[in-house]
Amino acid sequence: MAKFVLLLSGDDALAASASELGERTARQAEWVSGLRAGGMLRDGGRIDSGAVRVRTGRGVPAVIDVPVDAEGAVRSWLLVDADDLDAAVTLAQTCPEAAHGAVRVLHVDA
Amino acid sequence: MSMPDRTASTLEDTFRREWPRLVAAAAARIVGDLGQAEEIAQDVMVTALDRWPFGGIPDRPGAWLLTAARNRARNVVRDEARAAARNRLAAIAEVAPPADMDGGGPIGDDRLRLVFACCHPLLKRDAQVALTLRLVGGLSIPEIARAFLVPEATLTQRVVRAKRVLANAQVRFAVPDRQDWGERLPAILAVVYLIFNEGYEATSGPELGRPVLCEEARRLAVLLVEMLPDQPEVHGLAALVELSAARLAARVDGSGDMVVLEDQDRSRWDRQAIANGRAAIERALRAGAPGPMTLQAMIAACHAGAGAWESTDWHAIGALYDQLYSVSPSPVVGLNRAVAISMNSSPETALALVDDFISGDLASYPLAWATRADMLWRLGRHQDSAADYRRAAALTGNGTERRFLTRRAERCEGSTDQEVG
Repeated sequence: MAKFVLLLSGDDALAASASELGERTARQAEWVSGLRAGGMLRDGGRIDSGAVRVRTGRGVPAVIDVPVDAEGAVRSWLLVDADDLDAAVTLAQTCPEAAHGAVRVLHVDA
Repeated sequence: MSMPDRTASTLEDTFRREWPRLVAAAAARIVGDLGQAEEIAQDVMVTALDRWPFGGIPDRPGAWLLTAARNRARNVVRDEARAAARNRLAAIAEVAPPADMDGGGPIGDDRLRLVFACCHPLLKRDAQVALTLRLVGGLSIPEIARAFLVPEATLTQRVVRAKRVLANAQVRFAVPDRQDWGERLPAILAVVYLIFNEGYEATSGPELGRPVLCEEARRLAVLLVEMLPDQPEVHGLAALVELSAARLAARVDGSGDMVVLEDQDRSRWDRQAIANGRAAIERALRAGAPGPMTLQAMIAACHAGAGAWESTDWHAIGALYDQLYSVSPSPVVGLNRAVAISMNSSPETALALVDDFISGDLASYPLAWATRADMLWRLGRHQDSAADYRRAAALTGNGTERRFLTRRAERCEGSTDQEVG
């Protein structure tokens, strides 16, 4: 069994209607509960949209606001167990919010 | 799998219901900036979307959202005050006292202030409509743009500009004094009714109507009744919207073609909506003298009460139109009054009235030409009738309506003129 970090990103929620957000919240909560019930979810949570980049390597410490990339701000993260990358990708594809943005799948040692 | 579905629709409903509360609660704290209030409401809901799946859905989701919106608004005000002090700019002097008046009677409802702001007389009607749908209804800009067949950029601009107009004029986020309600309340009713009408019979596009707008107008009417139960016309609006909505399913046949009132299968009318509408009329009449909304609702109730087109009580309807025309003498009301007159007694008099309206304000109003065509058909002047149906078809932007009018024209053209005694 391997571990993967899933990063959910996307900005379209900022333009969604109130009822749409309510519906999406329920679907996403249902999905996360399913992972938890299946013993696949180790941890996860929301990521606040404000982020900075810290650099100290070039002599001068620098703290820079991270620009939002093409996929939009990262909104939440999950640490999940899966057999391999294929299985992790398959799991990421079942994420309801993936339809509204993107999910990055990272293989991690932990 | 019915449980999760129920959760989804419950949360959908909660978010939609709470939305105007969130905007209003934020707006009450942040002076003169509805745009910022809207952003706060949106941010709070997006936060819920990203957090609740992990932390769990709160026992009282609505209360969570409202508290979060209040806190965020307070923080925004605090941060701005600090920034202003830091920059030695004039401190924000006019920070409203936290107006925790929710539950303190309808006038204390922040949402009512929001509705009055969205329908402010400084704004044009289309801006009032867009702002009401966005800030009170919680519809998204793409949804509203789609419903009105307007490009998203146009609608965004309309909403941004409307918020700027209110901010620049430093419009007080408040319920106006009762003495000004005579002007302010009808604007609100007109906005909701316009939303309903566009949903009922869209001015353009291939489909006859836009169900999303009808639903939203019904919700807005219910909200107004909740906030203003002592206003007869608010009940009148609710009644009118219910009674018209009762006919929605019967207005289109299996192949998507339009069916006029005369030809509708009345068993498909929504009995519950009719009952709701009747009850609302009673409440309106108990609350005061009937105004234009209530009178139109009473006319709709007459139609709803007729088991068949042939048993329509045109005398009652004619009398109601006379009353309506005396309180609200618009050409469109006049046109409908003419229809009642033609059904009652005198098709020639009615036709003359319609001609007056057509040579006046209604020259490019498709329904005026369609009405004239109907009258000519009943008078046996089928060729003239065909010409007017063609004119109406050319004027309407609604594809379904155009198809219907064209078919009518063809029916007339295939029929010879006849004397009607």
